[in-house]
Amino acid sequence: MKQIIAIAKFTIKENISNRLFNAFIGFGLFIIMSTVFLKEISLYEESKVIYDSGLFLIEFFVLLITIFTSATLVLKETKEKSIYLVLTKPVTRNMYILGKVLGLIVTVFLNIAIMGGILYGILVWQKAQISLEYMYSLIFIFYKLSLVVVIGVLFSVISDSVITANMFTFSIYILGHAIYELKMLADKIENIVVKSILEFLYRILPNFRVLNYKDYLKHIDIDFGKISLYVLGYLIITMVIINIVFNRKKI
Amino acid sequence: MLKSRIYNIIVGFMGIIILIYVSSYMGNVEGELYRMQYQGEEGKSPITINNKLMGFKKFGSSILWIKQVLDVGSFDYKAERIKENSEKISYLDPYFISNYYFSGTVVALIKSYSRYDYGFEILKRGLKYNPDDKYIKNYLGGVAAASKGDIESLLISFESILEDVRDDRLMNVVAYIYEEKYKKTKNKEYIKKAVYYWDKMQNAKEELYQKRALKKLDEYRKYN
Amino acid sequence: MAQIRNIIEVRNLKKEYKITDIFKRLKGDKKKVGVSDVSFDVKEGEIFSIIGLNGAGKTTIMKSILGLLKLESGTIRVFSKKKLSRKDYYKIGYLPEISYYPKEVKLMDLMQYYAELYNIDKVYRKKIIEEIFEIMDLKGRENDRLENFSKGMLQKVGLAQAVLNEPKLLFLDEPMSGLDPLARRMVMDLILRLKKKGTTIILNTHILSDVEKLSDRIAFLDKGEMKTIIDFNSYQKKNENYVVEIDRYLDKSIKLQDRYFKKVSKDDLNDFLNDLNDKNIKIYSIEKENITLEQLFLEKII
Repeated sequence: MKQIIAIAKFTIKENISNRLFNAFIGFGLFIIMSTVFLKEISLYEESKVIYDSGLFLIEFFVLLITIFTSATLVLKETKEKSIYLVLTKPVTRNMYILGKVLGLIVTVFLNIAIMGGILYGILVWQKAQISLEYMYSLIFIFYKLSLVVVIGVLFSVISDSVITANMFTFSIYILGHAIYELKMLADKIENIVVKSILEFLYRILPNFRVLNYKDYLKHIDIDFGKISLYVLGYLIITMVIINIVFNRKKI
Repeated sequence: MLKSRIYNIIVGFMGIIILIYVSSYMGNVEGELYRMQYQGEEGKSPITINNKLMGFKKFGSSILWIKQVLDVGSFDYKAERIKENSEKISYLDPYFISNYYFSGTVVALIKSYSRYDYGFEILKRGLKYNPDDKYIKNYLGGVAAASKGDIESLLISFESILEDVRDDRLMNVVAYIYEEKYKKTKNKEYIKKAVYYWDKMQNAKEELYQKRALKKLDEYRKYN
Repeated sequence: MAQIRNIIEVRNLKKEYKITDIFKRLKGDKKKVGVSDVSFDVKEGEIFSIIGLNGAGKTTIMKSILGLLKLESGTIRVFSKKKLSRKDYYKIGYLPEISYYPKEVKLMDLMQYYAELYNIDKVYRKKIIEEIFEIMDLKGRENDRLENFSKGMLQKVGLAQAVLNEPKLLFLDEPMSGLDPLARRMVMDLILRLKKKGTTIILNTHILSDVEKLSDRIAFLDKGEMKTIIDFNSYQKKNENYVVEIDRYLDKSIKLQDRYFKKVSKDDLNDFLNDLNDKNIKIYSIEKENITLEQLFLEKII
């Protein structure tokens, strides 16, 4: 509906005008561009070094911003009462959340696009060989961080403290990369309680390992459609949980 | 409120179905990715485990690569250290082939190290994870030849590598051998070959080789 | 005769707040009463004011009616409905007591956003916003970031968004807060203008002078209880008294520094004056008693 788009648009505007935000992105770009200086100490492997470092830095910087904005989102608006100005208009809580999440995801997309474009320019300049893999890497970074957005908003709605929301979101980001190890651990342990907990975690944590395309050691042919469906499914379920919690929340 | 509750239930259900549908595929990919990783303990350290668990193996391997280049270039470190560095890199990314070429030849061919055993270990590991690589076998062959003092086999192995791969160390070794051959036999063909390699080494990234190349080219100017 | 309906009906509203302070909880105070057993109606088209000290529960009542708070017990009907649906909010405007606006956003962008939330057509959007800026004296600041706005300006922004969609039902929580006299005047004119158009206005405030001039009915709220609801104008008319200054003490007169005053109701005035004439008592002055809301407020509450 139109109002959802309006909320999304406004969220994007807010983020773009946020000075802290822009400074951060600018700093990130600066760091990425300075990876060129690694050329001298990379001994003919500068393409690999700039490529790997660049992609890592893009994810790192956009991740930090994403965690911060999504985890503090609802908390900030609730504490500052500005949420009343929206919920007393013809906007339901579901619409509000959906609009906010949409706005954040588009912001993430724009950030990755800008930084990815600049890194692409650097790589071309350094005469590195760039294939479609680069684009896939960026897309998967986008997928990963979209999940971080909804996880962040979820904690923002559950928690009352900015710090815990941020910390939990960050922890889930890290754990999501190690879920296979978690599963292996669960298989080894005999204690039923611990085993069940670990298996449960394995099921609900986001599968960041598979989404970590840029870190695939060798090329494998992936079913892009299925993985996209996974991301969609995960987004949907998390949004539903957010809606349920938020509808009950006292503001 | 009822409307939104129904909406949530239906959509939530859809989401669960989607996830169930893709879950086995995701599991397969996970398994494949896991099996791709380095199977072994060599190179395991707090840093590398960290990198591996947090999902930036390639970035970590790039940084460790830079560290390795700097360590080798500073001539301060023992062969053990070079080998350890190489193991850490291969622990994270066993398909990073230059790691084996570089580290393997450094520990084996540099006179002050001369650790052929380390060289073999590194290069064999490289072969294990990259059996289709064109040059790794030649590297192994060349290092094996060097360990036995078999100059001719060494030259064959290394020169075939140098046709396609840029490796300043190998060039240095080969040029040196040709220079020695020339000094013994005075056969101009040999010095021409040496000059050919020194010429290529003029823009070597490792300063040592660059300087040597320029010096030698100057010395044997007439054969340029 | 067209019947004026009740646009809002509140019955036995009760709202408690949990006390989070550990020490108070240990003492046994688990809940704090915000509002207890409040009942009242608001008629369509009137200006209904709720006055009370800070913490009396005015904002709680307003938020409960708006659907922002859940009730412990009691019922509220707005537009004759038990629960407000999303579409009802098209007809509602709200100015909260305190509100923060996103700092680094421009005024025009903010207003456009709110207009979009009201689904105001793009064609009319700009025109309506400009009109409101004209009324609120916000013209010329469209492209300024909100972080540069003073408190008074932000209050005007709040009012602007509240009236953006020409609401049928307008909730104003301390609308005059932070405004200079000129701006207050403007807001009062705006409120009266809206009333003429048929808007029902609920006003929370603790500034009594504003309320006197505007309200049709005034509710007195104290510590969560509604003490009374009066129609101030008719109260004043009903309780028109006169103070007559005379030259001697009479039954139930008041002495102030050698002067004597007697309060007489309007109806009794004529008889009283005649009586004084008969008794040859001198009359120094006759003044109409001016009951202010403040006096009444202090009377009822304290």
